[in-house]
Amino acid sequence: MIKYLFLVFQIFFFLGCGMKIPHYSDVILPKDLNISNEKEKLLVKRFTEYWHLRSNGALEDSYKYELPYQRYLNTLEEYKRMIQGYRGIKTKLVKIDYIDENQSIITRKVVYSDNKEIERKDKWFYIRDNWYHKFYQTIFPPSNQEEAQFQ
Amino acid sequence: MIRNKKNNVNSIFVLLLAFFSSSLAVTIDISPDKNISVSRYEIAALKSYMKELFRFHMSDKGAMKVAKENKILANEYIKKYGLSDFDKSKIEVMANTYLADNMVKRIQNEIKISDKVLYSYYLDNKEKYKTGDKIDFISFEFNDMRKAIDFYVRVRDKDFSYAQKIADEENVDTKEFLNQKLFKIDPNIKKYLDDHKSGYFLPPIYLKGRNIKVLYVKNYKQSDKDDYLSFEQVKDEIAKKLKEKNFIKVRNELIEKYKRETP
Repeated sequence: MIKYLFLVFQIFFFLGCGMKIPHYSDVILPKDLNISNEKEKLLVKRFTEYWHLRSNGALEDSYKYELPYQRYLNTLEEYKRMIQGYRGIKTKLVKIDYIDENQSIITRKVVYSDNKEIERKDKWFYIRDNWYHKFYQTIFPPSNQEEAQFQ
Repeated sequence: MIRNKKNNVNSIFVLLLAFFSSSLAVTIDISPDKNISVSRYEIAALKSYMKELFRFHMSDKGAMKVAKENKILANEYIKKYGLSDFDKSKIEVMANTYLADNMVKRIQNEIKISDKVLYSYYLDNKEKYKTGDKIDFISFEFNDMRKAIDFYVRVRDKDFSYAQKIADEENVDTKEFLNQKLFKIDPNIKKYLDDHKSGYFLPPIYLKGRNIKVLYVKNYKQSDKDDYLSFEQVKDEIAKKLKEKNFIKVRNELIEKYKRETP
């Protein structure tokens, strides 16, 4: 019985470790963030990892978080060119909204080197097993309303 | 090298395409034939050509007639003017373009796009697959493509009342098509629709068995209901769309690959 309980405890412990939201100084989560389920926890984890990578220019790694069809259409080199205009140094998660069970809009604040903060939104899609981010080009000014909101 | 045979007056023009794998050039051999005949391959090729370039659906009988007429005229062209260096080059360029485009398309078709890629596109563009959206069209009807194109060019930047005035003056028939369900609309029309917009003209469209139409999008009615076509229903259409978008990228990759392999 004790061995069984210990095994169950180990399983839960390691599962918890696998789904742990990492802590980065350049991605700030609200203290009162209320995560309702494991799927949402995964979303917050992916969001945190992604914006940490983007803030540090690790574009080879952030590319893997982008929507599969966007990666199909854009090579890594094209991706780097398209989003090279991003200048944020910190990201603050403000709130999470859902369009449906597979599409989320995350409101965030981008902090720049002069401490200016601008609100932007992110689109995330749950595809089969994971959450994926939709990227928008940041070289040119937004060409439509959607780009203006999500760039 | 093109052999130019001008001296067979009553002969029929036959185009032979010879591809030599040892060279990078396509060699076209144009030589006349003694009998006017149109093969089923030529009929199929002409129908495919008209459909791809002009969205024009020909019957077998129509294609045979046009193919035969083309052969007669082509032969007379060679007899009267000969084949200039420019003519030869232009024909070679067209052949090379056809082969190059098909090389890319065939390579693309050999690689299956994963369901994950297709499904991500579906989710991001789900609004396009809403079944409840409807459109009201006004159709200006023509039986001559040139007249349809001429009309479209004159009205495309104008409002509907101007187009109606022209149609009245020139006795162009108009028809109203109300509440057409977006997901059932012919793909040849759908590709020209501007998402959720009203009050514009589409370029002339030929739909099989019907007149040539210049359509005016009078009303785009967005549905409140959340009914969508399923992923399975649209995945082939999505695959085709992604391949079209990816065409230039694949083309460039193939060029780099074959350049490296060629001494």
